[in-house]
Amino acid sequence: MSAKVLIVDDSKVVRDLHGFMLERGGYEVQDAINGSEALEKAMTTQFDLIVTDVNMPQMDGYELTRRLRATAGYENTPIIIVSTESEARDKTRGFEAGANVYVVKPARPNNLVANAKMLLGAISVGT
Amino acid sequence: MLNSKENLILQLGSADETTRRFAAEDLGDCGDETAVEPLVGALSDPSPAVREAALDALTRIGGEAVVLAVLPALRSENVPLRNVACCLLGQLGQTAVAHLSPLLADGDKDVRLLAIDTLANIGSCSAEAAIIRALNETDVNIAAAAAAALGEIGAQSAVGPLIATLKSDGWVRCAAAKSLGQIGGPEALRTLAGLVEDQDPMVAYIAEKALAEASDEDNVRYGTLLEGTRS
Repeated sequence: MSAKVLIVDDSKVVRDLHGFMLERGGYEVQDAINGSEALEKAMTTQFDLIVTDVNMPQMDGYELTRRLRATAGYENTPIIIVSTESEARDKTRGFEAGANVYVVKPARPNNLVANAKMLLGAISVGT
Repeated sequence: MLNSKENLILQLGSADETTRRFAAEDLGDCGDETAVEPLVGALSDPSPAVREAALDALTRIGGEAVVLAVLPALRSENVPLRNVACCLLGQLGQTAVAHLSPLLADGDKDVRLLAIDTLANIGSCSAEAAIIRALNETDVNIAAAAAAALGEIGAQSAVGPLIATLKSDGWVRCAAAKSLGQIGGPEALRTLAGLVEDQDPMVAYIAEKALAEASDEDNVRYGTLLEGTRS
C-alpha cells in the first residue's frame, strides 16, 4: 500500500505537477484547492504527508499547518510547505506553524520526492 | 444616535465579537466610503466571522476608494490579510485592474506575483499586455504565474507569446502548455500536440492533460490536426 499524500495549492498546474512528481515517486495523491478543503479531506482520509502552498484564499498554508497540528491524528504527520516566498522569516513562520520542511518554489521533482522519502522513510511502503 | 455610522465604526472596536460582526454588516449596508478604512482594519480582526463580514461589506461598498484602501495590504506581513486583500480585489473586478497593472513593475517580487494572480482571477483582457511583458521575468515563479494568468484570461492574442516562452524553464513551459490548452485554437493545439512527447516528462504530462481537458470542439479539431501531423 502506498503512502497517501495530500497536495494543497490554489493553482491547478502546481497541483498537477506536484501530483505528477509524487505519483512517479510511488505515492497515492489527492489534492485540495485551499486550507479549508484540505482540512475537510483530512477529516475523512488519514494522510501520511501534507504538501501545502502558503498563499491561498480562505485558509493559508500556515493556518492549515497550525490547525492540522491541533487535530487528532495529525500531531506528527509530516508537512512540507512549498512556497514562492523565500525569505528566512517566511521559513521561520512555516516552522513555527509546525511544518517539517520548507521548499521554495518551483519545487524540482528530485527535491520534492527526496523530501517525501526522507519524511516518510519509516512508513513508505509503496516506493 | 444608537446606530449612526460613527457609532457603528466605534462598535468595530468592541470586545464582543457579535457586536463587531453586526457593525461590519451594517456599515456595508450604509455603503458610505468613510466606512472603508475602518472596515479594511476589520479584515485583520481575530474573529473569522468579523473578517468575513468586513470582506462582504467592502465588496458591497466597492469602487475605487475600496481598491485604494486595500492595495497596501498586498505588502503586509500578515498572510491572511494579504490573501483576503487579493480575494477582495478580485471581487472588485475591473475597478481594481487599473491599479493592479502598474504593480507588475513593482520592486517587490511578492507584490508582482500577488498582482498577477489577482489579475488572473479577474480575467480582464485589459491587463493582458502587462502580463505578457511579465513572461520575460527572470524570476521563474513570476514568469510561470504570468503564463498561467494568460490561460485564465483566455485571449487568442496570448498564444504567440506563450509559444515563445516554451524555450524557457521547465516550470514556465508547463504553465504555458496548460494555458495553451485553456485558450485553444489551431495554433495552440498544434503546439501542444508537439509537446506530448517532449523530453521533459513534466511538460509532456501537462501537454497531454491540457489536450484531454480542451473543449469537445477543440478536441475534434485536435484530432484533425493530429491526422494532419501524421500524414
